Amino acid sequence: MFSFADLVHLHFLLNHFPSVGLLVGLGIYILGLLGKSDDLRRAALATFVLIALLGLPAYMTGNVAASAIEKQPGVSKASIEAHEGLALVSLAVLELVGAVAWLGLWQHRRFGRISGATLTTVLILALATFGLMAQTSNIGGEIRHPEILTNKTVISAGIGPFARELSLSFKSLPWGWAAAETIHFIGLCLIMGVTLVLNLRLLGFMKGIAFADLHRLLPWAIVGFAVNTLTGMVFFASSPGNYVPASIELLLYKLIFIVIAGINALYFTVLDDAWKVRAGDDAPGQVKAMAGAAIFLWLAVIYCGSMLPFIGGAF
Amino acid sequence: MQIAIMVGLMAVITVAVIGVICVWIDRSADQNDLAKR
Repeated sequence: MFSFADLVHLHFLLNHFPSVGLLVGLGIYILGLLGKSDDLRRAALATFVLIALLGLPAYMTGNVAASAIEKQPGVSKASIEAHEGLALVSLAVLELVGAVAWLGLWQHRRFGRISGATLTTVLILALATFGLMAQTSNIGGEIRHPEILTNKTVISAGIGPFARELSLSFKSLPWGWAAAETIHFIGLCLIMGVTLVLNLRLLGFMKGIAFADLHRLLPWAIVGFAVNTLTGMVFFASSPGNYVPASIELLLYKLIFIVIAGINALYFTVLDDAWKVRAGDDAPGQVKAMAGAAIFLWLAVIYCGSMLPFIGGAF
Repeated sequence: MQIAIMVGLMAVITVAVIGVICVWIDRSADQNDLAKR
C-alpha cells in the first residue's frame, strides 16, 4: 500500500518529532519542574514516551530516503553516513528517555508521586537527546540543502561514524545474530505474557484480582519492550539491506502497530479508567475495548515480525 | 559449539539483568505500600 515515495516522504514527516517535538516536550517538562506541576510533568513524560516510539519509524524510513537519493548528483554519501551514524546514537539515548519517562508515569500511578531521581534522569537525558538530535537534523538538512552550508566541508559528526561502523561490525560476530534473536524472543514472551494476564482480567477473566495488583507486572513488559527495541534496532542498524527496500513496508506496518500498542499502554498507565477496577468488578466498556485492542495489536506486531522473511522477502 | 555457548550465555545474562531490574522496581512498590501502612 505504501509506495517507495510515500516511505521517503514519511521520513521527512516523522523526523520532526524527535527534534521539534522533543523541544516542545522539554519546554513543557521544564515548566512542570519549575512550577511543581504534576500534570505538566506527566504530560511531558507521556510526550517523551510517544516521541521515543515515533523515533523508531523515523530512523528506519531514513534508510529508504538514503537509498532514494544516494546516487543522485550533488548528494554526498559521506553526509548521509554521518547523518545515519549520529541518528543511531541519538535514537539510543531517545529510547532511554522514553523508558525512564515511562517509569516516571508508572511511579506516579503506583505511588502518587514521581521520584526525584527519575525526574532528574529524564531531564539530563532529554537535554542530551535534544543536543544530539539538533546535530543529527543539521547534518540531515545539509544532505539536500547545500544553500545552508557555510563552507563546503561537512560538519564533523563526532561519534556518528564510529556508531555506524560498530553496528555494521555486529554482523561479523558468528554468534551475534543468533544471540540477539534469542534475546528478542525472551522480550517477546515478557510482553505477550503480561499483555495477556492484564488484558484478559479486564475482559472478564480472573475477576477476583484487582487491576491495581496486576499493574505491578507492567514493568516486566516494559523491560521486555526495551530489550526488544534494543535487539530490533541491532538487527536493522547492522543489516539495513535485509529490510530496504524489499520488506520495509511490512516492517513499517509492524512499527505502526507498535506505536499504537505503546499509546494503548500509556492509556492504562496515565488514565484512571482501568485503575479503578477492583476485585470482583466488571471493567467498563471502553476499558474492555482497549484491553481487546492491546491483545490484537501485539498479535499483529508478532505476525508482521515473523512474516518478514516470507511476505517481505527479508534475509 | 562456541555459538551455542555464547547464545546461551547471552540469554542467561539477559534474563538475570531483566530479573534484577524488575525485582528492584517491584521492591520499591513494596516499600511504598509498607510506608503507607
